[in-house]
Amino acid sequence: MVSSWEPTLTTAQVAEFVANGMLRFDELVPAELNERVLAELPAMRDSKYAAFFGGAATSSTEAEEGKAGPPETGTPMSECHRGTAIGDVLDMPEVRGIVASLVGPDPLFDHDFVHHLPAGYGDRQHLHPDAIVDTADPTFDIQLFYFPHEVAPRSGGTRFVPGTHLRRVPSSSTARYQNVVGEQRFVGAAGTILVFHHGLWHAGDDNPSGDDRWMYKIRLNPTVPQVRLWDTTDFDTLHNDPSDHVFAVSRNDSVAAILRTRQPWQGEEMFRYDLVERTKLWRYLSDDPSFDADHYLTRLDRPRAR
Amino acid sequence: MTERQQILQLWLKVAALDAAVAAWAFYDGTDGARALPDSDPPYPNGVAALQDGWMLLQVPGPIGPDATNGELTAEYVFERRVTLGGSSSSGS
Repeated sequence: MVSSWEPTLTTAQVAEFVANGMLRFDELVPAELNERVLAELPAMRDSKYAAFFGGAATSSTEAEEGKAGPPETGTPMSECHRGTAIGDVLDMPEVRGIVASLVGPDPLFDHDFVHHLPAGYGDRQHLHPDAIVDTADPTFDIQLFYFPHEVAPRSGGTRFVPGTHLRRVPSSSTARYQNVVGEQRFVGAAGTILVFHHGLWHAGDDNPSGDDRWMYKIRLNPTVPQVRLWDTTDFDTLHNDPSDHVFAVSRNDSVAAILRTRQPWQGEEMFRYDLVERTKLWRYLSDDPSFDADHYLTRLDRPRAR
Repeated sequence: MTERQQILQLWLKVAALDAAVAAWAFYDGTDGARALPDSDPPYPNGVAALQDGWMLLQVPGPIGPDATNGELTAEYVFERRVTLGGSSSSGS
């Protein structure tokens, strides 16, 4: 059965995504499907490696079973990996509901990859966002990081830094930050999916444990304006007016309050600049050009007496 | 006696040496006997690094109006020289 693209995220969740650049959904994929995915990933990894290093980009498993091969960039998500366990994950109404809420129904496949860290893997990838060139406008892609098995501490869980997604940096320049205060390493149950804004700084970690670490990642491009795509039932309640100002009168139950989430690495100056960028993004998502948090953009917009 | 260098980069939350650490990196040209752990910031701020014997090599310049939403700007670079086979020759 093909599920619908009914959005499932609330206004509060989308505001959290704007603030932190990510959302986390624990144990979203059921155990039986995780097991089927785990059985599929080694062949998919081999296919990806073969394509990357020069060769056919067709999974032997898929070819043997007469299934569609790996999707080409630009393929609608609904046509990707049909008849496979990964395809079944992408078809889940819970997954589609999250995706539709952020990038709209049936977004385009950008690329995917199987990230396998064998037991004892010793390298730590440098911190990076995932592209050299990305949009400077508020539109964004999302990336799903799907962990089909439990990941224990120090077992290769992906490293990431919440709140870094709106910093405009070349991909490799963040390599210099070996450690960032407040960074996290994924630890969690099987079936957990992290949803990242494309700009979020992240890295593969070492895996000193005795267990292999598998993760499937997919990047998705929107095809529609990303305006109020989510379940907006709570929109009018949370979407504050531009007067919401922490140094004057502010609400603690508004979008602005969520956007004010401060990360441990942010000093006051960094926090305020990031808040301005979050505010710009919320203006786009809410289609409210007068929206503000703490009056920064309203000051700039205000006609000046001459 | 061989002298080797250790490098510590601290990105502070604002451009003042007594501000708290936002990020850090450590590179060790020695035999590793005096490595820093990476699970927590090695020092709460830049002054604490000075007090532990690190010598300041670089301070950040003024932050321009365009450098507002990219790299972490308050970058301080320190060195510590270590004499292998003996005590450190510079720093603690």
